[in-house]
Amino acid sequence: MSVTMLELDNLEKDFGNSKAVDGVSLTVKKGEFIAIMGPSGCGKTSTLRMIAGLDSPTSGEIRLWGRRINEDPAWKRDAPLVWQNYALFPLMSVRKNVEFGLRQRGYPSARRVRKAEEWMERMGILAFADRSIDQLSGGQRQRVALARALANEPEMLLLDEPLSALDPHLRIRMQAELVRLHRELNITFIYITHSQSEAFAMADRVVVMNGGRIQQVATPQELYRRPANRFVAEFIGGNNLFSGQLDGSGCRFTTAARDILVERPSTPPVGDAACLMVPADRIELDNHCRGSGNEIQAHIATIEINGSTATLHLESDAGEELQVQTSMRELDTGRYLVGSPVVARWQAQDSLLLSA
Amino acid sequence: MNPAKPRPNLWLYGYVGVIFAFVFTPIITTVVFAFDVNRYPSLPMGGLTLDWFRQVLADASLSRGVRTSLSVALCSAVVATALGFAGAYVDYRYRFLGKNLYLALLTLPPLVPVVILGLAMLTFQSRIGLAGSVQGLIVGHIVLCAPFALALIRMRLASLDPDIEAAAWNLGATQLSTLRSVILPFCLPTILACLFLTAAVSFDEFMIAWFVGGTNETLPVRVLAMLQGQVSPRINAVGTLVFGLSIALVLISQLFNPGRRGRTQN
Repeated sequence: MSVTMLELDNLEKDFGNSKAVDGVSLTVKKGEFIAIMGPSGCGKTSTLRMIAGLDSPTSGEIRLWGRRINEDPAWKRDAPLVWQNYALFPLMSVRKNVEFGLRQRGYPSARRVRKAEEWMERMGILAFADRSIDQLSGGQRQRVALARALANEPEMLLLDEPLSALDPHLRIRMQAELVRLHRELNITFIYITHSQSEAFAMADRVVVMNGGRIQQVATPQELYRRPANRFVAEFIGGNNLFSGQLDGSGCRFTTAARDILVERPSTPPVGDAACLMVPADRIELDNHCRGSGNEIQAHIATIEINGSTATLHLESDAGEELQVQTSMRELDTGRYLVGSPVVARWQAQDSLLLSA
Repeated sequence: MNPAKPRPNLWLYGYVGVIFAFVFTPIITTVVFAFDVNRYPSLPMGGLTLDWFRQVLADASLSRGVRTSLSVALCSAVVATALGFAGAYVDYRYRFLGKNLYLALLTLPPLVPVVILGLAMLTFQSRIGLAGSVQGLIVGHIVLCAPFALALIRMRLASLDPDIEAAAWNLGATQLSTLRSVILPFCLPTILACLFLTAAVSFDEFMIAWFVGGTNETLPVRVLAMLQGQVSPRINAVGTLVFGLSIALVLISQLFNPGRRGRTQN
């Protein structure tokens, strides 16, 4: 897990006069599961295509095991891609699809057949090896795409939103399967997604991109607890963000509506306008003020149930919107009803100052 | 929307029937009178005979015409289909400035009135010393036929996932190998259809053949020459043979052409 495998060094990609990728630098270790996440148009797919050799960077360098591979054509790279729409070859059977890469690499036919069958077996598609692609369901096509990509036994697998076309149940199952596959194969996975639940469920490290730039690279937990900036905090969700300014003492954050007590940051946030983040799960609710920490009087606007947890959307007397995460067990007590007044409270050390 | 079987619309049936009658009556007349004993077609028919066909097959100028037509059709079909595939593949594979102009230029020839096309070719080909040769005739028919092949193959490629080539490269296939093992097999039925269709177009074409063919008379040109000299039931026999061959080519082409069937997933 500690050997550097792939390095992206200040990668840029221009399309006409727009920069799809704008100075991306990233180091990927051997065997790591990296998720690159961001809204559509953030440059994540362009980055992946450059790693696969399907697009060439405008500037910057891609290094594999320390060697520059910018100029290597796609067919000489060992980075098979699982496509969002699978891109399986039409008019070819499942078997022919899985064998395709082996055939191109010049495996003798006996070994090719054996290897393809091994992988079809492993992905649970050996039963329909001789069916044509049109006769398969979405989940089966997904497995064919994986078997086809893995048959050459690559050292790195690229996945471009592979689960987005599947229904939710299947998606959860495939997530577990991908994690298992990653652990068993011990190869590097680079996984593109716009879904944070997929990224957080599977990846060792998550790269958040926006506007062609990397916003943050961190473990899911770090990303959640210490987002690097306002964009990341908003994209991850589940955070309350206040715009305002830190006063001279460094202990007071002034918004349009109120002063909020904060811990003095070790490094002051960059720029004048700053942003204060209070995670939704760090706010406790009470029925009256106690004069400790930060307290906001509000009422419950809506209740959103997400399974075992629930999110209460509050509206403060000053018109601010807050979200507070609570458990279904709390909700069962019947204390929280739409329209009832509550006091939201959090301690200074639970908030985090971000640059805007 | 309406589960009940819709009542047949007699007006519509009648209308379609009239149109078919309008199109096919001359052809049927030709075919029927090709078997008539009478020298001048008249009703009632005098009796059935194969004499006219025998005379046609014995006519050296006609069989020369058939040979010229077939060899021109074969050559132009092969080259036109190859060019059509190349043009369609460029359209599938690349995005570039002026692509619409490129496609418009490629599909233009059949839209130019054939008289103008034929005349222009004659003028141009006589400048470069090609006029009057079979090669010149073939070139002319290629120009006319290639857009048909382009249109069919382009339609076929439109149903292929645009990522398919990249997927093949990604699995280690070179560009050439991708073309050979993924793109061509996918297009093969359409390519066969195009061969027959363009052969039919070339075989039927009169105007260009008349302008640039010179002494190399194709069958249609020969038939017109015959018509000008005399009215003989042999014309009906020739017409029947030509019609049969053309229809056969088009039907075979239809059998091969998958059109928009066999789309790829998603």
